[in-house]
Amino acid sequence: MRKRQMRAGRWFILLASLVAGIGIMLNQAHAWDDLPSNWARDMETADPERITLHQIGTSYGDRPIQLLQIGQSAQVKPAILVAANMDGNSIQSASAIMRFAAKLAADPHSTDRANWYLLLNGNPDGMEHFMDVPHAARNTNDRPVNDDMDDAVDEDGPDDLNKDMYISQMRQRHPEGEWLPVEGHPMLMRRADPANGERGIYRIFEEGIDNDGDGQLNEDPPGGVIIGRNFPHRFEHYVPEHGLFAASEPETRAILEFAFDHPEIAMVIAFGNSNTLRTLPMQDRDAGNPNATYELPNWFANRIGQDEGTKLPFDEILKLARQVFANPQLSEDRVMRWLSAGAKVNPDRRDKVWWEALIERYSAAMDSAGMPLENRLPSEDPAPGSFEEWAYYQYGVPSFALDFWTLPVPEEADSGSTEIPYPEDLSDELIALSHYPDTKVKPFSAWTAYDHPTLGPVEIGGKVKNVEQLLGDTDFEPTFDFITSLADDLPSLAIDSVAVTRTATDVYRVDAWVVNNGFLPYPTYQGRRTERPAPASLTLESNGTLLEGRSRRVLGLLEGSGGVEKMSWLVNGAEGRTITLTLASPSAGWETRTVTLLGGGQ
Amino acid sequence: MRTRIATLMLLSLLALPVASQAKKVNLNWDHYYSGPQVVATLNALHNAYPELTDLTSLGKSEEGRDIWLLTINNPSTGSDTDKPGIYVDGTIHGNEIQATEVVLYTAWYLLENYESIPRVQELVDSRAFYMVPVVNVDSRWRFFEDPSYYNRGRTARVGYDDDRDGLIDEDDYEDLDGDGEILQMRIKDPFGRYRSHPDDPRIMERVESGEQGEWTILGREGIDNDGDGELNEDPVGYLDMNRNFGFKWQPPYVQGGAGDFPLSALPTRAVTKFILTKPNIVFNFAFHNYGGLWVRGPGSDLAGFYSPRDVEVYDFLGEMGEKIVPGYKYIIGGQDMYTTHGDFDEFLYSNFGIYGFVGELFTGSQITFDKDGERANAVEQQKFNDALQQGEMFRDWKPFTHPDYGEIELGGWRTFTRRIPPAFMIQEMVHRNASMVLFTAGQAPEIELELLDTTPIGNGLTRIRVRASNKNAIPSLSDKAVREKIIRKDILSIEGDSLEVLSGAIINDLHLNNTTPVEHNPDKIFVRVPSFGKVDVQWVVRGAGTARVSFDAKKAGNSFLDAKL
Repeated sequence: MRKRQMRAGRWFILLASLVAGIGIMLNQAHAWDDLPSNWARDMETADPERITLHQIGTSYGDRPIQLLQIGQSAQVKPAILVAANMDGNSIQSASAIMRFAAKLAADPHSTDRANWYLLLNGNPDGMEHFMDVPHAARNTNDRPVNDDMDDAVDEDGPDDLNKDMYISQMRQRHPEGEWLPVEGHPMLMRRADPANGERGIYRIFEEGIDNDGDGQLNEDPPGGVIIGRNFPHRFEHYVPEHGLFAASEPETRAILEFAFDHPEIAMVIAFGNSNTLRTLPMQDRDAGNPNATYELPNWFANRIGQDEGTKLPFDEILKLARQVFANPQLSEDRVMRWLSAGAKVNPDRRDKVWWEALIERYSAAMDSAGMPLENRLPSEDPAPGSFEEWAYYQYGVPSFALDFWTLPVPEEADSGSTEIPYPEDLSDELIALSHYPDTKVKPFSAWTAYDHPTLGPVEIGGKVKNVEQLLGDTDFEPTFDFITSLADDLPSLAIDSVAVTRTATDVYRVDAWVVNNGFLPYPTYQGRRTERPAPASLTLESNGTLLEGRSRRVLGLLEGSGGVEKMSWLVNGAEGRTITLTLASPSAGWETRTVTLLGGGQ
Repeated sequence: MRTRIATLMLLSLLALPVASQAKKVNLNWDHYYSGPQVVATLNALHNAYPELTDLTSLGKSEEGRDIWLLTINNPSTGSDTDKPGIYVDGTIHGNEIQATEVVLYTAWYLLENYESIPRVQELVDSRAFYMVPVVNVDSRWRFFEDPSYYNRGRTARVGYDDDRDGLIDEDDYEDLDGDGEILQMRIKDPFGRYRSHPDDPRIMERVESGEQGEWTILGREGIDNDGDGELNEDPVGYLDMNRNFGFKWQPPYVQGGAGDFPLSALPTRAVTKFILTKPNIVFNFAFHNYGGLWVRGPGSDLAGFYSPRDVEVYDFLGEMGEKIVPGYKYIIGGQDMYTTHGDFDEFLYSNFGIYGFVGELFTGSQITFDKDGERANAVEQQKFNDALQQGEMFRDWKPFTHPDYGEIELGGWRTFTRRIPPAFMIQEMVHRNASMVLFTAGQAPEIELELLDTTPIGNGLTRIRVRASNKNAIPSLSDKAVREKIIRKDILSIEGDSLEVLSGAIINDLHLNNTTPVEHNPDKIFVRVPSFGKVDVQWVVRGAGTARVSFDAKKAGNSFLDAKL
């Protein structure tokens, strides 16, 4: 019971700190029973017509995975899935989504265009542990993992030796040391540069002891798997915290199953540590990248008279392949398969058009809010096995990752300053942290002597582990406004117009134009590749006979901002009869239009 | 039931006067077992050998059928997980039905011969066998119960919009004439590209350009259910369970049939959950048809390379497999066949350190008179059909009135042909393939501990040298498992009352005293005992009395020896 109170207490602090707009303190405990669940239930109780709390699954550690639905379930409305904190350590995202929920709930028009599915926390175990005291920055779920493959599991994690409630660094003077203190900034360390004739003095370790006596420090910490590394796009094997295989974790499966069970989801937004509305996620290979080269398979090299092992850029290979096989339609994907290049890892070039436009729009929105993105350090790239990339590359819908805060870009020192400049190889993060305004959470602590049981005399201090996640402090509103505006960009199919022309007695030609009034295409080009979502259809029903054209017709990809497709039928029916046209799709438009067989024509 | 078994026993004694032992469960290998017959057989085996078997369900399929596991283990020689395990399954592709008979026969052979054949008893007493005769229970059940043909029912019964029209599984086959088979449909057509073969009118052969044909092949029996102008273009199912496993799984646009995500099918998930509970499994056989192949991975370039040490193990077993089943070839799937992602064998090797073969059961050249075994030579196949099966392998063309096409003809190779050998060939097929399983099981690691010497080295110190050796082909751990840290290595440890362990080392060369010391916790040395090889270790200890040296392995059992100091 006590543990539960502790746990809930941390949530309270989390929320309180956001209201107060200050950094997060860990060294407090308040009794507050089950805050996030109560909070979500209260949301539901306050507006049961419009708000529903679902539990879509359970974490490995038996914590609920909760989803707050805002907007009534309807067959004819798209939904936007917003999911927070797959990485477990993104406190910003876990709190942002609660605030975002409150904002949506308060605005009766927030669900005019789409319903909102708010996945409050994709990695509840990780989040829970991230709030553990002392703060060891654990963000994995509760699955036991034998990181070091000895005969014990989770037996050697970090230890708060100096009892300051944080895990920071240890430095030890040692002949093998590679590190030096930064001149003028005694809490910072940098690598010695042998090219400049420097020799290191210190070895650096994470704060802790060798709990299992194997000669290694903190090599098998408690847990587990990071859910934000366990999705099946760009999944990396053989990294313990990624999981044994993609979707190995109950959290991941619950989220995947929910997504595939809800085809009305038209867009995905991930709150976390990456931001794909700042930078397009790009890898260094695949056809989407003009610089990538590929080794030709032997059979193909021989076929085109090249040496085995030749490497060529993708576009050239594609051109050659189309020539050799006399098939100008030979698809990029087919050639990618020959090259064993696996799945696409860069956005389809035709999807880049709308994606880059939204990146510009977001940047402008943040500029006008007085929070220019270039004033903060770059966001993390989407991780391998991330949720946000999976949502675009495999689920096939527009997917955007948003973080809300990174450290401010450190200001350049005045040229006349007497301050000692930072060494060039010191990371921007460290410089920014050392400039960070005084808060209750200290990014660094002074080095103080400690007698370590196996290392002997060391000093504990330096940078606090993963402290950046504890400092975040920002105004969410401009980003929230941008997100709600994205609902207006959803693909939106409609029967634009219908023309009925009499071609002979009781014979009418019916032409119907379906147009996409949204900014985004339906589906995305990647979605077409991955066959999601299902195509839209237009069905003509009449009492008469169809002379030409099948009753139900499937629509192709409709570009955004006016992409149009025309469907025609020839109907045999008496003048004055009505026919109905029905547009249907999983997430982009529903409409029934009745027209009468009338018209001059020939 | 009992009476029938007794009668069958009697018959079998009459038929096989040489057989010395009466069978407890009398099974005949002259027919294929339908779904309910598979379950009845498993129950009969379990009831006849309750002490040696467990029968459990691994879980349910999409249509609610149980996926049955028969575990063969002798509990009086230890629990199953303390012995190297051999996993054998069949029919993950629901139309590859004879794989099930191979698994059933293997189980039956092990149990029925436990008492009478010493080698079988030795294997059963020292190994655990996990037998899953049918993975794709839904489709194999339906193969017998529904109108079918030899290529129908490969996949799991998971809905899929094959024709991208927004509707799921809306245009499947139909048995139009109600004869229980999905035959071919052909229609008279002066513009057709086929004509009846002059040597055998049952066969249709393509005409050359400029020649006039007489038939158009319409496809398999069925109608255009959804009125989209296509026949049978969106049948039930699509998920290929042998592309749905977790290692380097690729989405459907890279790997057809992969499913929405790894282990999205219930049977693949059930099997994986089971594998996770049995770290002792060292080898798996997954039986399929056809081709006459022992296939190992990698299935694709993405899967990475197989280490040479592991390849040696595969080669040793694969080359033996070619002899045990004549005509079979031992190949590498991704290089010699085609690229696959997310298949079971890759998953077991790369994520669980389990070696394995896909056994592609043979037909092809067995059911033709063509000397090269060419399947394209239909005339020679028909001669075989007539001479050995009295023409029953082929349903001769007969007229039928199709709702859309009008007058057509139905006919073609029947359901239990092509990929599936005639019943008279089953006995040899199951015995040879089961023999490969038994041979491989015999090559599971057996680790022997040997005290090399104990030498006093002064100051009350003793050096103890111990050898752990493996006389078999399969090492205590795959090299992959060690390199990728998939499985904890084996532990050689020493302990004793008032014994102080001062150092421990792996001995690289016994005679040159070339060693690699263990820097920390020297009482435990992490090792891997290779294929047909050994590992030597030494400790320096202070103390007297008895030292106990233990070997603790995930896949190669546990043992110990005592050394007097």
